[in-house]
Amino acid sequence: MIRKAFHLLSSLKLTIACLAAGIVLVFAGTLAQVNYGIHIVQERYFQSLFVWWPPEGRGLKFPVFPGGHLIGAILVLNLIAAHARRFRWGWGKLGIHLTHAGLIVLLVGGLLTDLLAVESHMRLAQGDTKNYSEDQRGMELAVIDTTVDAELEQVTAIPETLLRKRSEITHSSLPFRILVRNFFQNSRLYMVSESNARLRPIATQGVGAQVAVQAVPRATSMDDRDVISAVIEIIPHEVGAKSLGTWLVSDALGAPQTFSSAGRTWRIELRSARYYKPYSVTLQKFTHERYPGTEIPKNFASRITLIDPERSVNRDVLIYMNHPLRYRGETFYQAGFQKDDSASILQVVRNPGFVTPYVACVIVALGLLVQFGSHLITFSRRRRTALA
Amino acid sequence: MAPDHRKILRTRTPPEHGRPGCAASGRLAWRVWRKAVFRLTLGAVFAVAVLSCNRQDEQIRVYRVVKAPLENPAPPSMPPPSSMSLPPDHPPVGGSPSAPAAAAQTASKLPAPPHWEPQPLAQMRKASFLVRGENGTIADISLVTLGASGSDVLGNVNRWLGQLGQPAITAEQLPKLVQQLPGDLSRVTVVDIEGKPEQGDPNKDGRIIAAIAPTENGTDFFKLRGNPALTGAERENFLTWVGAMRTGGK
Repeated sequence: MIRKAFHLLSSLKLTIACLAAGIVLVFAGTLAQVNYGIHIVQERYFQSLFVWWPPEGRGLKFPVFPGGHLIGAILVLNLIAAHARRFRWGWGKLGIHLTHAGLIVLLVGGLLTDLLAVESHMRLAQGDTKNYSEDQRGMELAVIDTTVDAELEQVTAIPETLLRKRSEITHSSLPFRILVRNFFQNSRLYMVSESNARLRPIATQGVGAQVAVQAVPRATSMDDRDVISAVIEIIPHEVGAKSLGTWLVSDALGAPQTFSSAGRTWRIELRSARYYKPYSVTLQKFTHERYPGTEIPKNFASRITLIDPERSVNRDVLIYMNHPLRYRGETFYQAGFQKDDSASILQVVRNPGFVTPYVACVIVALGLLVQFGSHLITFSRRRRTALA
Repeated sequence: MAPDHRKILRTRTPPEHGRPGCAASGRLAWRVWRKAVFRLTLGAVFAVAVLSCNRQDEQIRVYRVVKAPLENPAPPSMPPPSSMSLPPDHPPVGGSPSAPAAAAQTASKLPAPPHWEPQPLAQMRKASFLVRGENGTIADISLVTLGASGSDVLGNVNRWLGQLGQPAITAEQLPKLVQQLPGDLSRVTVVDIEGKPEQGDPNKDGRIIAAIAPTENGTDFFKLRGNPALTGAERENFLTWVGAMRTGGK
């Protein structure tokens, strides 16, 4: 049985089937981008084990096709199994082995990047200092204890994925539990007091008592993003304590809301997920050069000051196109700027597997060089022998 | 005589593992390799499984940060005892564009006509003023920021028309009611509408001049609403203020 499974896993037919499935997946994913946009398609087609049908709703779902992760994982296992099964040692096959090893490193590196890489951005106006970057798509519900310390505040960051599950959220840092009553992946907010009578406020406390929320289809354009909203109920742990009511939290609200519980003051806010760093970045100057007489960008650059108290670093760095700053495992790229040049946008990438594509390319190149080189040498020798 | 290349290419080298002496070492290498590959594969599958189950996006994180300077104006006498702490001469850290205190301060720093009376900020308002005219007439001025979804001009115009008791319009009728500000402010859409809201007080209501200004993070709604004559008289002041808010007072 095991032998049969091993033979199946190492068969060339499986390789062909996976490659064919990959082609179909890429084709279907490309077509699906018309309706769903690149981010949703990436999530559903390529960063998943299966493509599910129907894609929307919470009802019964069926896997209709293998997703990118499954195809990639099977390909890696197939490559390793085939290599293990058919391997015969010999210097003549060194090139083949190296090439295959390079491919395995490439596939595993791709999977690692997908699982571990974090992309965020840092928007800095001239003179701004920040020690955090913000996720480009992921949100978090920040529950902030503002009275924990005179100079510090304690943030309990609840990821959007937990809100989406609409479950009960408890944590040892919170003297209350949070019940997610409603979740909107994309929404529009309307002021009830300024609208017609058909709209009802979505919550009982805070700004939500004046706001109605309408669910809308997910954003599909490259430049758009979903406006996530949720209604949460806050229930203190204390025995006999009353619920603190329902609160609206939304990406569209411009300000956090406050309440008191267990003798402390809390602030809640749905915001882009933040990644704090043990160092800070200050934007000293943003330069946007254009070609004379046109609006075509020639160069844009940010001169920043990097201060890291732990490592006693205090230095100025110029970040510009194709000249990122690499520091503490993160890479800062000059990604964009605000339209009136009032702020610079740096993309911050943490990718522990960033070196794998380079390593893989070197191994594959070496393998091909050895393979074709050895053939060339053999051919030349035989030619010489035949000529002699 | 020229060599026969086809013959040369067809000639095969005898397999190395077929040679006496090479067979034993080949078999040993084969065993070692299989074991290594098997263990490596198991390890890789286990590592990927652990990584998949331990996704960061499902974990609640707790951390302490320095309070934003606007919420804690007193300078810290000692460096905060956290890994996020900064040296004493470090510039203040923060800059959240959505911080209410920051927004309020920005709004109050920018030029508003002196006769506009600043009002307490309601939860969604980043700026709020009241202007008083003759005979008890008033007009209310506000700035509210919503997410990108709020930038639907037709939807907002129809909402404001509804507030003034007017029927909704179609997309074809929209260009007659709206105009863009000139120059660098061309992305700002201005609408000026009048009407008689049911049970509305004509001293306080009857005309809305609003500006919809898309930003990087969402949409700014500037609104002047009140007595029609007073609202009309304040139109220039209002648009100047909108321009100043958009350009940071430059």
